[in-house]
Amino acid sequence: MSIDIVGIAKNFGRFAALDDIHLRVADGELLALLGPSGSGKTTLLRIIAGLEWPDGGELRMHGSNALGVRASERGVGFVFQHYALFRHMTVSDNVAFGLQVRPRATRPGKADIAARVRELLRLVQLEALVDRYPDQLSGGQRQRVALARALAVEPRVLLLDEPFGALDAKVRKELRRWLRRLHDELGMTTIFVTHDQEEALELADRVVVMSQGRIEQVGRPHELYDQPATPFVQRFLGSVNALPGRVEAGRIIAEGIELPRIAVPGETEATVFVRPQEIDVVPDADAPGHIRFIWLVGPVARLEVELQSPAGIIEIELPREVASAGRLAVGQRVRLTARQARVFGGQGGGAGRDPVPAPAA
Amino acid sequence: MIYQPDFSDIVLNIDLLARGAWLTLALWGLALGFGLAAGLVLGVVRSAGNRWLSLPAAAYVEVFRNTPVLVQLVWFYFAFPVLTGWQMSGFAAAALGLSLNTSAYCAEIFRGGIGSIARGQWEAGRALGMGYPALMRRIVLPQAVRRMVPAFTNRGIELGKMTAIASVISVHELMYEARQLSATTFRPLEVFTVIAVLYFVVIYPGTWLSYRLEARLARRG
Repeated sequence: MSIDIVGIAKNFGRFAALDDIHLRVADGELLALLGPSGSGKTTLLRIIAGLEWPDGGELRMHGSNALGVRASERGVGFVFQHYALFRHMTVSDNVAFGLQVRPRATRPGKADIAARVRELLRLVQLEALVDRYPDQLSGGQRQRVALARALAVEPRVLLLDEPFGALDAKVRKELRRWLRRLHDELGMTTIFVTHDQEEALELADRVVVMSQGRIEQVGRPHELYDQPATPFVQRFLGSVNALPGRVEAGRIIAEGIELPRIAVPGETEATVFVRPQEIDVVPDADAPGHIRFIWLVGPVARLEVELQSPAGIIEIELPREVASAGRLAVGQRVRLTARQARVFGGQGGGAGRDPVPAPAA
Repeated sequence: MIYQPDFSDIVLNIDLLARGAWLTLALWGLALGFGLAAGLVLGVVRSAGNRWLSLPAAAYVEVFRNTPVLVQLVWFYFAFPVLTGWQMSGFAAAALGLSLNTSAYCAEIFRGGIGSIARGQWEAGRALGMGYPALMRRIVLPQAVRRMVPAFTNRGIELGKMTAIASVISVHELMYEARQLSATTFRPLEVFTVIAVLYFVVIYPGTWLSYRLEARLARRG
């Protein structure tokens, strides 16, 4: 089912949770709403679900107005952040519940409900736990029961609010890959909320980056990462060094780091964004920077280099073997060269001009 | 001179105490039954968020919680007939007073229990298409009641002991019969020792059952 969001706005008192949101979700798409706390992503999800009402705008599902329709009649399955399983019911009762409370006219028979529950528990790999109570399950198992319960009512849209937020890193990784496979199998329009950029980039077909109730950018994961539209998106999708730069003869220069050729017309100064993994480090006794710290984190070496320039401290990420081969050490003077950099219009103030990925000089 | 306890008069009049104990049980059962039922209605009404319903319910609760139960019983026995012209027996006045008092306390227990259920539970029910009454019946109350059992146990114990106040308006329950027996036999120590035991025997089984229920509910998650 396709979803059209047209000019949706929502205020809580004087706080604008959503401000003129326009978005189209294609049928069968897996979409991520990504943003920090308070960006409005959960509010938007709840409006789609019918658990919250907007102050303005339109919501169309499959072409028809959904705002006049009760939550239960929208054909939506909702998975809550903390699962919201019914603690007094067993796993099978939780999954069956949505079917049992239907009006008599549309309620399946007991045998049909039991068969559907068995099928769903097989789908989420929990057949063995039918008689357990939620308190007797692990976080990952609860998450899958919540998903089965949402799927039981045969929704046309599946909505998930921070589905992996309460799980540890290993379980998170396993579950999100499993969810991707499940989505591909079911082909259902799915929207999930997350503040974890890795999760959004790995799982979604498209990602909507939100900040302060507005959409900053919508695109495929690689588009967002390679061509961020605003400084916010650049900063939010992984760590980044923001360097003060000045423009000379239409080219940008940042003290202490060699930049590729980037054309910046009509500016005198601008902020240059360089990702930690886009910087090469070469030992050089005459260079203006020295290594302050080196952290070895699994296969990666993280460096902190202090420049004697307004740029201050630069974060760098190298493959561990590169750092070892270069015999880098704390206190050593190094020369920095950025392989790629980005500049946004209006001194990085988020004017949203398409960034100019720099070709190597 | 050492006091010599003598229970022979009590044994001879045990039928009086048994009748009193039976009346105490009847009073307790009536007040608890009505109090729970009315308390449930009041608690749900107070939780519903409709001001036209919740404000009168709140006023009712506060009146009965903030006036002494003794005053309430005396009022129903002496003042109520004057105002309405409807004469009540001591037992009816006691049953009514204790029931209304209990319903006010139970309403607050229900309200607290309902309020303790996480918002996500309500929303999960709504997302599955449930209205307020069904949500209450199928999702909220079954979970809330588990949390309320200890509070209801305390209330029940208090009420069991509170029935003794009915003796003030000449209800022939256990305390009334004990006072009568004490006055005629001049054996207060023996009489009140026996009725203390009788109160325990009457009240404790309910307490024990509630502990069992609590443990069973805890096992079920």
